[in-house]
Amino acid sequence: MRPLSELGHDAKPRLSARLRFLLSALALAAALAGAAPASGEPPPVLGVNVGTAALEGAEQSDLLNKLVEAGVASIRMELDWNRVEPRSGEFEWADFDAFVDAARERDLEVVLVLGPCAEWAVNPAWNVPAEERCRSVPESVNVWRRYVRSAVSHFRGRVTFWQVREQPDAHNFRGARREYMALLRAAAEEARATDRAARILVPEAGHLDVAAFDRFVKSDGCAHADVVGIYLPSEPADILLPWSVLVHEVLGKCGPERQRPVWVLGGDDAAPVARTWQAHYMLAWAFGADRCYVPVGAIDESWTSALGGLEYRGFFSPAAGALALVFDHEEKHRSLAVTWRAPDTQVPRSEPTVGDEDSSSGAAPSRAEGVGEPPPVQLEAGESIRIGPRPQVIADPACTGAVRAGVPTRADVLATRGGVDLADVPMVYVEFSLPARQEFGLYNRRMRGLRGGEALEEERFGRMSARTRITYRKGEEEKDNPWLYFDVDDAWLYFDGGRSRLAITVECEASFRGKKKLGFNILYDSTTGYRFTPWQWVDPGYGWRRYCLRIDDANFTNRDGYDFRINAKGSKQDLYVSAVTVEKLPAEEPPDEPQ
Amino acid sequence: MPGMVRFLVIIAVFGTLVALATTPASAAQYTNVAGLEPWSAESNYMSLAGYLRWMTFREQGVWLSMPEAQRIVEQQMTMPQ
Repeated sequence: MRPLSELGHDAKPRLSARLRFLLSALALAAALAGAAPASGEPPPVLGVNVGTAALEGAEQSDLLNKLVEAGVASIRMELDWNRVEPRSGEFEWADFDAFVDAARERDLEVVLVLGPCAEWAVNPAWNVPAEERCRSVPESVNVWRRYVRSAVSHFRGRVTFWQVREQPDAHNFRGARREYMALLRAAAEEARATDRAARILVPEAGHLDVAAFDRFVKSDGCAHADVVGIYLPSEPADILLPWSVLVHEVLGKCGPERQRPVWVLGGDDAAPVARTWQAHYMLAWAFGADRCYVPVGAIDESWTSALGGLEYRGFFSPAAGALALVFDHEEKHRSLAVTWRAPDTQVPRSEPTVGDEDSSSGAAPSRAEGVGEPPPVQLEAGESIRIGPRPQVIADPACTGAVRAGVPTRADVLATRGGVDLADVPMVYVEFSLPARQEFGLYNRRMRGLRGGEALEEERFGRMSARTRITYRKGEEEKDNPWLYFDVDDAWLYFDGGRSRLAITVECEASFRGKKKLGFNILYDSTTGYRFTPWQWVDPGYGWRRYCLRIDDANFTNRDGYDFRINAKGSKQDLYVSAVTVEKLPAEEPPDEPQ
Repeated sequence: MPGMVRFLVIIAVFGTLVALATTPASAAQYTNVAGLEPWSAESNYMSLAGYLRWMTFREQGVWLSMPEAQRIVEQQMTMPQ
């Protein structure tokens, strides 16, 4: 194995920014024509996300020059509505003009993000805190239309791609989904009417929320999008499954008129770790993304220079739970592999090894309980390396013959995870009292770090149970933990579009305070987003009770980190749950034809 | 080498600013409370707007104002989230 830096300097000269942009334009044209991503695709355009601080920095010129040297071809920046229209109807473009022109002089394309919201456009009666008004929505869509129309007109010929708000999730967008769709529709109509060359970039609200993506592609809103943007979870292991489903089962199965190019717009890594973003870029490449925007702080020539001349060859699994993506240099004498292991992979305890973990990788310990260090993975004759959740880039892996071309499918990703084959198991469960395997295909313990889900385990009537911790006094909301989160194993159920009919059985302690004092419902990921089951009262008495709730529209995709949660808020006592079972029910038979 | 140091300082400044603007892991959308019965156990004996406020705070650590929550619930009533 050679050091990466050495490989980078020996590699063929990297593509110029202009050539990379040309390649990306070709890729965009191919994607617009409905081409499926495959091996041999050109690399994604490397872009950076730049804050508006760059508008006034004396070092702006240095920054742009260095970005060009590092192979960056595009910059994504917010066209801050507050800044360009500080008062209704008064526009000031000078700062953005200077930046866009300086970037264009260096062949750097600029993508502008429409938003955040102008504070004067927010209805004062909504009582939005001053510092949060930029995350709100304008009271009138007409002032939004004017802002979009003015911006597109002003930058016509200089800016082609317009993104509608930055990641409109519950944190960034204090509004309903319907309000976002109204802004999107208005922006698309105004931009296209003002500049026929304008293209609309629609960002997702989640982090590779494949179910929401599926709903959007099938909705009328798809007509307003020319490109769709995704944000990546920080761990590569969390990226593979949704992205493989997105490529093969969402975009791969919708008609060409609904296929859209995919851009990576960022991720949830607050710290711009160059190594992580190198892996994200290579993932984006393997999965056919047209562009990958990274934090400006993640640009490091040691990895960008190593990309020149590479071509994605395919993937292989060097060990259980691990996946490696392989990239060849044009001359085929050298290659790179980016590899990592899923954190929750159940692997046997390691034996004495000859390899050393790459300490610089910052590999985190496995989250799974009772799991030893991952065994070393043999990637090259005579040498081995430990791999963890943090991606590692390895030069010249010995993997000839094992590499499969193309984008990994759902089956490929799940096959790397190993463990018990859950595909044909009729049910999964959590049973806290069992002497072993308390969690089988259904997980609660590892979800207790989620907000509101810090359950306690207590013995009640001879059985172990998970207990909610409900608070009742105002001002103690931070201590309120009324939820028990659950994650269904992806190998058992993941994105089936509501085709599975489920029965969730909850075994809990009876209501010792009396009738209608204890109850719960279940918030679950459905074909229309998270929704509640009807409320279930728990019968009064002592001992254990069992309740079964049927769900006919589940669409579990780990959105927001879980598939469903039991909610006991509204009860006058805590809920003690000893077991939860999720069972797949047989498909309903169609009614008999009348004779 | 001084040029490289200067560049690192530049990207550290801009990187910090970008990091501040980056969204922490959070819920993709507000939970749809439109199907719940207000002033009952399933809404914790609150109005739907009040329940959405409490749930958003517990999930996100952010309080919506009551008029905001009322507006969002009205929108949820007219379209699946």
